[in-house]
Amino acid sequence: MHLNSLKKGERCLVTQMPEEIAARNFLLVNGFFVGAEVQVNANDSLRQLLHLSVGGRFLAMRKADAERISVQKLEA
Amino acid sequence: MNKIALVGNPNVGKSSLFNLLTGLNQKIANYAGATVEKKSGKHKDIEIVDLPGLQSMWAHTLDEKISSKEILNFAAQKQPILFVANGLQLETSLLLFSQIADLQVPIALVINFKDEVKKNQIDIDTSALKKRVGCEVILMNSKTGEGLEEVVALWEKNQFRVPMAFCRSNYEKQEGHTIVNSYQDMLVNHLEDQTGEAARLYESDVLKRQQLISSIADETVKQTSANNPLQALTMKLDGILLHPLWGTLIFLATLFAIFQAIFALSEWPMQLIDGLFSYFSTLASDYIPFKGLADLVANAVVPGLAGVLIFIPQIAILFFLLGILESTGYMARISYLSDRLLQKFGLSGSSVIPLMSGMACAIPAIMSARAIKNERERLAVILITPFMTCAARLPVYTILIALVFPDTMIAGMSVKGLALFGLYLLGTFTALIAGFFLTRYLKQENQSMWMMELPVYRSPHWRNVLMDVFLKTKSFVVEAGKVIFVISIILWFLASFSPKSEEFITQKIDEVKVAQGADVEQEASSIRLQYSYVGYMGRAIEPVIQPLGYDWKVGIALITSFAAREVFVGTLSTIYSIGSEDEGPVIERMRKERNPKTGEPYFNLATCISLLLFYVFALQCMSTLAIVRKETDTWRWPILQFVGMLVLAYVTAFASYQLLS
Repeated sequence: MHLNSLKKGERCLVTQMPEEIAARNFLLVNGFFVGAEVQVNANDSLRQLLHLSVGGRFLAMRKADAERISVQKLEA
Repeated sequence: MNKIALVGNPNVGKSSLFNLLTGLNQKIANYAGATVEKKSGKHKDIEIVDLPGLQSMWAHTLDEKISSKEILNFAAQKQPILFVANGLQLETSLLLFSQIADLQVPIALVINFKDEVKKNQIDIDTSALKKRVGCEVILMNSKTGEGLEEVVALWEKNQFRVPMAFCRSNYEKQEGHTIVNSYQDMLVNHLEDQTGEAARLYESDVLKRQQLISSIADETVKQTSANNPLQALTMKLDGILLHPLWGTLIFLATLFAIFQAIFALSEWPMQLIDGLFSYFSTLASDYIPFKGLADLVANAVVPGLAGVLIFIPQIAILFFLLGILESTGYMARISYLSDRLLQKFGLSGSSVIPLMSGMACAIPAIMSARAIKNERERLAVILITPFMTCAARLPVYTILIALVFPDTMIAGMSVKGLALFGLYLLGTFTALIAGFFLTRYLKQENQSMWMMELPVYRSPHWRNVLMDVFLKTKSFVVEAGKVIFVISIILWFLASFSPKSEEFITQKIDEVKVAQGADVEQEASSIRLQYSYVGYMGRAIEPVIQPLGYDWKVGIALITSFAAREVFVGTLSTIYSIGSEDEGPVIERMRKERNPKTGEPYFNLATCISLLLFYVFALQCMSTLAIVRKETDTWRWPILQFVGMLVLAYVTAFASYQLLS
């Protein structure tokens, strides 16, 4: 599954990063790497944005970009 | 050691620490990218260099590249680095720290936000961390200055240390009898190549670091309770402020409240300043012994300065309210709220901070576009930011609004406030439309991902907010004051002397007297002004501006305000003061001004709307043109921008005047 499909309050582990190296490095320095834990605080359909917690930071990411990240959902 | 660099991720409090150390007042805000250029100050005899924040040595944006290059320079000179980390996100901060540590430069680690670390019940074992990273570790609070003495002791007691190497050994190669390390070369190469081999090498480097950093963090940072009040408060507030419906309504209401407050709160201080300057004028007339000098001071310099300085309360209120938005962290939420809408105009949420900052002044706003990752978007933002209504337009808008809109309330809202809000919306809407066309015209190099950090909400640091208001207002007063002072003196000379003889002017006054059969002493000043140098100059440009509804007096103000918009009011104030026997503020003189052909008030709805539209669209600010030149590194863009905005201003002002008159 992809990060964009997670709902509010759900947590996941990153399992696969985008193929494009520039995108991967951009994500990497922002705390996204295989094995990183991500929490979805809001999945905003109106604005097509995700409100995420990664490495103690709050980040806003577009759902289109989140679709490029594969994740494994963690059970509550 | 003669200089020290302050380095760290964005929004970790580097500039707060810089201000504490140097006594300067570098801008502080609660969002990533508040500092976009290198700033220097002195602590005793040590030069402190505040660098823009960067996430890692892999720089994405122009401001990050400035920092990366500067860090490499510091490393080459073995100058010490004071690394500032966010105590709430220590693991994130350690990535950049480890990259700099591997340059084997003398360094110390300062962990900021000690109060928030404590509040969130995070326990940082600084002794263990010191052993793991191999340099001094200090926990401090840059808001209150707690821990500052230990920071100063770093250079006073020479406590900077070359830290442990994290992954540096991976770059060692035996070449003959010597070991060559290519780590620094890798960092330099990846600044140029972000998609090829250097990028791949960089990726594997960061992954190795992440593992090492995780083990350090596991050992030294403990969350002693599941409670995380600051983060919980931020999530709770974001639930409301970023809500699909309430979030948008709260944002619009906030903007609306700002513009209402500008009018509501500034009324009595403006009256006070007005009274004060009238008193100065009277004093100058009564007590300066030389008639010419008294006239120059009382009728040119004082009214010119008063015309602009009267707007200090409104400008200070605007800066204060924008300062609160910046310091609480709400500005980053505006980026979130606007991202989708802005995408339709070819922009992104990252454009919001420069555009909103443009409401104060276009110059820092254009510079803040350095934090935009996408080069095409950055250029578009530089070109459209001058459409945003800056503080210098406020005096022009306020006086023209006051001439045509009544001083009444509708449903508890000031009509003048509504008109001002409308003009801000028009400027913003025009900026977006221009962005739409520009981003289609400009070449896109590569599609990039968009991400924005949403900082935790913080209560405003009132001292910083008020200091920022003071400095910006002072800058407005000094900059505008200097120009207006010079222009008012030049205008006084041009308006007081004539290329025609005194006999000619007396004859003209007599002719009007005979023609009207009345006492025209009241109009004598006006006739003198008409035949002065400035009168001739104004009438020379009248054919160009007449279709917009402006007479030569407005034309002169229009020309002088090409240097800076706020000069418009100062110039009119001087011209009407010289050309009239009446006392009183410029607005009263403007109200009494009559169209000589119709006898109707000159500043009617058609003229005022035409002028308002001209000032919404025209780029009348030399400093903005200079900064666009600097940021784009060519004259092509500022020239195109100036001409394009002038044409738009002329056409809309012309169309509105022709329709309304």
